[in-house]
Amino acid sequence: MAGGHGKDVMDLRPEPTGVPGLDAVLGGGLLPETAVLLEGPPGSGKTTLGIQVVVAGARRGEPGVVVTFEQPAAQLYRDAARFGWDLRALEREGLLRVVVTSPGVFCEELLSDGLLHRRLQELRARRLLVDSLSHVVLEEGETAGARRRVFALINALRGHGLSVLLTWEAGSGEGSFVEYLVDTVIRLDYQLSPDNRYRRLLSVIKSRGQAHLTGWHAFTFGPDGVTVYPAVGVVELPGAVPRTWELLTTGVPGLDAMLGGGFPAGSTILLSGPAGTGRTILGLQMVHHVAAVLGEKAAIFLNEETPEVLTQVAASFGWPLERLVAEGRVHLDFTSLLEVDTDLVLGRMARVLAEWQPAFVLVDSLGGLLHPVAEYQGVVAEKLHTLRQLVRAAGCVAVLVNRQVLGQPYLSRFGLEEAVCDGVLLLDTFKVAQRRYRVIEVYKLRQARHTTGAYRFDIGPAGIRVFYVEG
Amino acid sequence: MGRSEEVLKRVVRSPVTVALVRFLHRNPGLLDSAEGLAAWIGREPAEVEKALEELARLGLVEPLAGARRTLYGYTRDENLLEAVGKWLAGMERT
Repeated sequence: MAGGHGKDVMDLRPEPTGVPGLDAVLGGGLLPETAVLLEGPPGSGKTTLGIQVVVAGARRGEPGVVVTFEQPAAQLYRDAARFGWDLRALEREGLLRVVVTSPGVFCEELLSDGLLHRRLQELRARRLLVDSLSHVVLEEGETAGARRRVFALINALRGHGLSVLLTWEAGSGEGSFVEYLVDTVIRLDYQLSPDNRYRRLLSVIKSRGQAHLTGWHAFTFGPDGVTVYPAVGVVELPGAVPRTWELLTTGVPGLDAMLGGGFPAGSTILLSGPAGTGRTILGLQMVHHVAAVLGEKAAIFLNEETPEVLTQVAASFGWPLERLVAEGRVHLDFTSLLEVDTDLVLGRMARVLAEWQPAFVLVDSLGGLLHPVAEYQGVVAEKLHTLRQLVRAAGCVAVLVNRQVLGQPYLSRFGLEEAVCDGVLLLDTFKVAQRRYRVIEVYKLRQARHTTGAYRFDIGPAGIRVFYVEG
Repeated sequence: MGRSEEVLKRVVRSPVTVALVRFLHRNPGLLDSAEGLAAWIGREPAEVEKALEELARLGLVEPLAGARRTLYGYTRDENLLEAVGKWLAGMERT
């Protein structure tokens, strides 16, 4: 539509920030001609996040400018190269300019249509990072004059049609008048975990014109820069994946008959039992069946055992896990129990479900996945619901391996997993005359005509075999 | 002796001009005042101003009329840039 109101409406569509996960938190992305404050303590990732947004724009053909008052350009080039961003190459292509200057000069030149103003125009810049706005205010303190100056500066930049990112030095919980002047405030911070490790977190404090996700969201620095893991509302799957099956068979002799044919698509199954009852073997047997026999994809999210141990266990039953991973039929995601961050794993799981579309997901173990939030029953419930929502949206089947503590009144660790999950498989042992027997029971399975009661099973050279005969 | 060599010979006469050229070469997008440059390289503004005048005469910096004061940018002369790059690389090796 040419000009007029229609064009304005078009222009208000958010643009991708280029930071995975951040668009979901911001409610769509970066609105054009807005001023975004990136505030946080030293080392919280403000500059990196800002550069990532500018570089992402430049790579899409939208030129950007980085104005630095403190960090020399040479350092920015070096730090950006760590994430694969070649700022010098972008400068040579005319898509970026790193301007080293002083806060006073920056304000003078911008507010008077001076040299900086002309540089922005020459480049046709669309995104601008000012690192940091704190220096502009520091020159005169948080006075009425400083407020007017910053207000004028933001308006001048917006007037250039720029999306502006302004870094701001702020300790935890500190606010500033600048928060009132900008359109969006993103706060970056650290949180000390109970085991004395820092967790990086980000929160959108305000975002004019956008329905953003509130609360704190974990983020990491990876080889490609920052990735944000939205804490809630992670389910952004492209709709249920069309399946050729309604029930996913397990391939475990006797078990499919007990289940009434298999697990219904979209089910989350709790596989619970005390240590040594064969939970991991049962999970691996299903992975092998799905990937090697059914020709579907399977994903494993592992945190207690290492991939090496899991591969050895699988090999002892003749299941070539390593080969299935190499062939791209099994996706293996491992995080040591010591480093598990529930939101990060759920975020990766959401991505794998959306992009890779496995039919089967094995989580070993659920206790390990929820371990970082174990102190808070409400958060455990929220994460479990998120997981179940992901599985439902993807239309796959997930088996969550859970350790049942002997003598505990619940089937699960927190006492709520059995209620949230669509199905519960219980593994147990009992002893008769010095001999221990294994049993399996389908305790619950929604949308299925399953058997009741416990049936014996054994673990032989080919895996688990359940002694159940129909009829 | 070529023009670039003559320029560099004059640059090395003062530690301030050396510091300025090194900083400008690493920060080619700089646009700042003498006072701002003095802060960047950690020198007194008066001696930086004097050194900038000399570098402007040599064609290594470009004085620009700012809104309120003179601003400086790095040269865009390809021959000079190449010569300075080689000279700095040599200095860093020794």
